[in-house]
Amino acid sequence: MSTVGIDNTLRDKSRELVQRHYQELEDNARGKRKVVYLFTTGLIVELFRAFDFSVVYPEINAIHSSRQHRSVQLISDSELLGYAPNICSYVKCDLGLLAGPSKGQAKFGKIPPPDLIVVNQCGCSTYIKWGHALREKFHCPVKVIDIPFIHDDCPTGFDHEYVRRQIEDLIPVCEEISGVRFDPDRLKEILELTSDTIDLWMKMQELGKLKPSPFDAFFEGVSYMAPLTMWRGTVEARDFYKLADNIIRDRIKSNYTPYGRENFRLLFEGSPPWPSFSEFRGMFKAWSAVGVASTYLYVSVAPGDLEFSPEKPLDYLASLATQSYYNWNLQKRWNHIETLIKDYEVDAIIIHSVRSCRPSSVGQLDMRNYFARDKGIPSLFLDSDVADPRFFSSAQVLNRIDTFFEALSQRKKINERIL
Amino acid sequence: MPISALTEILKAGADDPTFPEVTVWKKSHPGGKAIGCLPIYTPAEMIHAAGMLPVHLSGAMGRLKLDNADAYLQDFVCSVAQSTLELYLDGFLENIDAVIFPSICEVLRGVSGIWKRIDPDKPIIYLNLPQNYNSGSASNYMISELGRLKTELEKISGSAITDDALFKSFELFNKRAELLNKLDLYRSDYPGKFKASEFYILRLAGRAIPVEEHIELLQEALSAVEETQPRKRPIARIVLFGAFCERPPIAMIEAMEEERIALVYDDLFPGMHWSKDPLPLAGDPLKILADHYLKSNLHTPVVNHPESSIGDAIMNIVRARNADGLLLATAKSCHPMLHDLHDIFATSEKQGIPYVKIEFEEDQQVFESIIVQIEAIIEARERMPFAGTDRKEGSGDQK
Repeated sequence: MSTVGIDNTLRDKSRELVQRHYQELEDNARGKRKVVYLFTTGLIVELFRAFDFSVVYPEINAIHSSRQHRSVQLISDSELLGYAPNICSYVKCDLGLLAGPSKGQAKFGKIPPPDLIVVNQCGCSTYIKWGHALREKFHCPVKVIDIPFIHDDCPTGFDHEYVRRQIEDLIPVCEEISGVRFDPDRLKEILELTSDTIDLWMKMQELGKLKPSPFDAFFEGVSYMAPLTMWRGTVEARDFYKLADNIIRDRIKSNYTPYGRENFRLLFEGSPPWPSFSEFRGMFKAWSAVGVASTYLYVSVAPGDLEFSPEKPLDYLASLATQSYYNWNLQKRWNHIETLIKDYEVDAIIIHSVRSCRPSSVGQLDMRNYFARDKGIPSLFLDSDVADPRFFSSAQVLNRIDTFFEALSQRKKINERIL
Repeated sequence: MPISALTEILKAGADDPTFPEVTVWKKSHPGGKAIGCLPIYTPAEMIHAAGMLPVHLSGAMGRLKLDNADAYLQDFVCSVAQSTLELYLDGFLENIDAVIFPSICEVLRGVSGIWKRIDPDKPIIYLNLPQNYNSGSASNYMISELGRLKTELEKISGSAITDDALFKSFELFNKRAELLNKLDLYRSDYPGKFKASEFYILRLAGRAIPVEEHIELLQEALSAVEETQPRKRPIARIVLFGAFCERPPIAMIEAMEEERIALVYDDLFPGMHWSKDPLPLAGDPLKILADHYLKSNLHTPVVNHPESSIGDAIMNIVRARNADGLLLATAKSCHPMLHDLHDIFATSEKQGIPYVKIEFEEDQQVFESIIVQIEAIIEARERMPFAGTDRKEGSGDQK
């Protein structure tokens, strides 16, 4: 197995797109284009691109604040404004940034105020509260897209129709605020790009099935999500994943694996601890443990019934809105994980439970029971947070990871000796 | 019988988390099915129309040690989810044949999945309640969900739910809501005659008995209240708001009353009288139920009223009930309620309405700090009574 060193081409390209996104928001500060705030689970950004909105993603702002170690200050700022200590730390990061002393000025850019807030309430009702809190600050319209929970294998026809009609209801609202007339052909063009982008994104994840995996689906994969969310529906997003495909296929030819060797193949469930991301990554890298699959990559779009039909653009949007992994019931999540374990030849599951996020975390303890006890898949349960580093205890997390991999190594050795 | 004597009798079993009433009902209804309803709203009328017993599940009110639920739920999950699951794991809900999970929060949603896995043969019904009240399609969607619920309930009961049966149920549930609304106003107008703790017990007593029996009980209570001699007049009138999935112990309410603090409004059982308006007794029953849910002006953090503030709604209640202030009792880990606090605080401050905020868990035993904080409201009132207070004097309560 060869090592070709850390390949940062894709990560750098993704960062460049992130910077461009924030630069464009700043350039737009003079108000040329109207601004919409959107949430990323069940994202339907394409509709707003058709009206030439500039898009702000509050969760992604919170992620960048966390990665840049600003979250503790922003959380504290929001608490001084009267927000409760134990609510979602993404919300507090964002409100601290926008309503606190920072006044929307982050290291990564200046966030413009919204002309419209659309709460695509998919999997998480906190979005509605978040939208209302932002309305208190900015006094702009807040529109809700209520997305029913997928309690069975797939959404019911009524679920789909309810979502589609709510999206349809947004068209006159967008026309009025943006001053741009709805052009179905424009929406179709944007959705064609999205459809291609999603296909490429899903194909990229499939490459994790190779042994060794040519990329880390968790620690690298999350860095490649920015084009999928911030740029979806654009040529830039589609071209990013074409580039990703080329680069990763080159890696395959040179037998590249992210940490020099691949001792363990892992499936990651849950969101990363963003403020401690690099440190967390190092803890797995030390064991040459590679994330070959990650459920977090399905936050804004998950595998499912997403066939794009140009004649039914609103139906495609409704499917996109409904299909976030965090809108799936637990059994559906577990069935999918079981398939991934088999298809990706996973050695163990790492469950990262984040206390801020009830949609992702409630059920994860039982998930550990299910996979570890019932299915015999080694599973490690870790508990911290997405944005608040005070819940990330380095020594404790490291200790648990090391203990887990020591046991896993022993198990592997024993298994190798048994014919 | 005075109301205190009646509620004293009921009190012993009112918060029994094991629901002995269900066993009694099943003995007298061989083959009858009991359907668990999780907070805060389920159309219990439909369960009744199917000939089944609706049972309002809502934790163990601190009367159960949690031994098993923590293997399934993290410590940051609210205690009502923990204790309801514990009841199930410990076998106390064996008499419950199916459970309805309404879509009120992500915790309950996750618990529905865990519940299903614990016993895949025990039916659960997940009910998506619309959250986009502004959408013209919310009503149709709710009707479709109610239709699905009806089909599922029919499978469980083994017989069709007819429109006639639904309207008969509507009539009974209207009667109960009317009695509850009367008693609610009574405890506000005559807090010295009828206490909030007594009203609380009367509602708790109706969690798992047929609505017909609950109506009889409430009628008896209403007569008892009318016959009750006024007791000492309270020194403060307080509105209690807490988005109560997780119910505080009866002792918490009683501890306040011992200090002559009257709770003149509470949202302890929003699902029992969801709307002030009765259900119409003609038309499409599913549409009637959908409208009843969607057109209720009840404000609670798990219902999204997009154009109005929950803070304003609560302050309106404080004024309507001539209260001295607001007691916000939030369950420790309830995200929907915690997210709304900012709006409630800001509105309260803007409108000059005193408030105190406490956190509780269902197994709380000590309440002194709550009393001390309410006393601060009383002191604030004495210094500066807020505008609009127009207390009803001569209410019959003794000074």
